[in-house]
Formats: sequence, structure tokens, C-alpha cells
Amino acid sequence: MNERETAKKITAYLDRGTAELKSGTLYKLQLARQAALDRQPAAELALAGSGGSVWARRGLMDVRVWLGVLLLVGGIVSYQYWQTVQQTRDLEETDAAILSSELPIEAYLDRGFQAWLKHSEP
Amino acid sequence: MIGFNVSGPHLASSSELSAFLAGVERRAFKQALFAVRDEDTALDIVQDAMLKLTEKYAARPADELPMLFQRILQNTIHDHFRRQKVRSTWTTLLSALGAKEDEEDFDPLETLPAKTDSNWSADPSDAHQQAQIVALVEQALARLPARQREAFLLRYWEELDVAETAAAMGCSEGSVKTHCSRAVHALAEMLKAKGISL
Repeated sequence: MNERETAKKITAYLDRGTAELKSGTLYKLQLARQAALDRQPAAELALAGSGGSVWARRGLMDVRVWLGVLLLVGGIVSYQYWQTVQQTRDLEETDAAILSSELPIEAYLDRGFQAWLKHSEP
Repeated sequence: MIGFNVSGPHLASSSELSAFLAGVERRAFKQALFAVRDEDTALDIVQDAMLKLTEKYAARPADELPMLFQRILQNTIHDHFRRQKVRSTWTTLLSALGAKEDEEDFDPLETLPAKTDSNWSADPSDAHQQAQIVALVEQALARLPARQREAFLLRYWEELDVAETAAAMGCSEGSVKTHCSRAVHALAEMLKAKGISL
């Protein structure tokens, strides 16, 4: 008799022993099973019940990650645009102030005038 | 781009998980019992394994459950022995005290065998003889080295293939074959010595 046949005969006896477990043991096993099923996470139940899959859940997670990345990139681009606009506006204001000033533009280029400005600062 | 793949592997529903556990709990209990030789401990191990499966792996495809459960069960049995090794002094002391309590809590109803749906002999003398053989087979199995018993039960009783058994045991396929072969020969020898020819 080969190994598999011998094993089959032995497991047949094991099956018989298993079929004749005490009722108390079976009851305890049933309680253990129920306790385990009660602890099944609700999210898993909903997902399994709705016919969804692990892949669908992964898809959801991917969408969240990509949305986050998109928001971050959008934020950085908006900030840089705002900064450029602000810098341009500042330059315009400076230019307008210089042009509308009573002083001629040459005065701002005069070293003596710059030295006088520094000297006269409080 | 990003898409939803709803036609992925079939997830185990709650009722499928329940049916799966109901189908494997008896053999799981026996497996644990052969290893630890104590009914209460074996029940604890089975409950732990069931809890781990439902808490952590309930969302896995239904066809992965048998393999996952066997892995969890074997790991839980190993964990038990690891803990027992660390607390061996305490266990000896507590089991000596616990034995008395067990006797006091003895319920004769719990020792009644459950109704069986097997096709074995209904003749009382035959049934008695069969029960004796079952007991001897179980004793022989309990006497096997742990790894041989584990390999035998997973490969031939749980009917996992060699690769699955190796994965569940965390060893090579060659080791599984060796353990199984030695287990079958040892069991046959032990039973032959008791006058049981297979």
C-alpha cells in the first residue's frame, strides 16, 4: 500500500473522531465562531455585501491620493502666480511714484543725492 | 488613468465566512487538540484563529480563506508553545490548581457525543471497536513529532497541495514531502504495534 492510500485510511479514522465531538465542544465552537463573526469590521461587511472588491477599494484610495496631489500642485501654482502679480504691481507703483515725483529721474542716479538721502535718514 | 475594477476577485460575504468557519471548526479544533492535548487550550486556539481571520482577513477573496486560516491556525499553535515555554513554571502550577476546578465543574451532558451524520457501523460492538481504533489513531498522531504531524494533517487531512503545505508551515516543499513520508510510516508502525493493520 502506498503512502497516499495509508494516509487516506488514517484520515478516515480522524474524520470519524471529528464527527463524534462532544456536544459541549460543538457548542463552544459555535460560540467561538459567532464571537469571531461579530468582530468582523463593519467596513469589510459593507464592501463584501455590496459586491465591491479589493480593487475597488484600492481605486478609491488612489483617487484620494491623486486628489491630494492635485490640490497641492494647484496650491503651489496659485501661490507663484499671486507672487508674480504682486511683484509686478509693486514695480508699477514704484515706477508711477518716480514718474509722478517732482524730482527729475537723473536725481535718483546722482551719487551725491543718494549719499544725502542716507545721511538725512533718522 | 485611474479606474475602478469592480470585477476583481470574489470577496467572502458574511454568510460565506460563517459557512467557511462552520465547515472547518471541527477539524481545526482537532488539529489544535492533537498539538496541545488540552481541550480548553485547543478551543482557545481555534477561537483566536477565527478572530484573527475575521478581524484582519475578512475582506480577502473567498477562495483564499482555507489557506489563510490554516496559516493563522498553525501560527496560533506555535505562539501558544512559545508562550508556554516562557511561562512553563506558571503553567505547571496553574494547571495543577485548575484540574480540581475542572472536576467540580464537570457536566455529564458535555461528554455526550453529538449526533453524527457519518455512515459508520450502527452495531454497538462494531461502533465500540471503531471508537477504540479512532482513539488509538488519535493517540498515535499525538505522539508524532510536531512538524511531522503538522505536515501530515495539512497535506492529507486538509488536502492542501505540497506547495500550500510548505507555505503554511514556512518550510520547503522537500521538507513537506519528507515530513509526510515519515509521518505516514511512523503512524502505520505505531498502529501495527497495537494490532491495527491499515
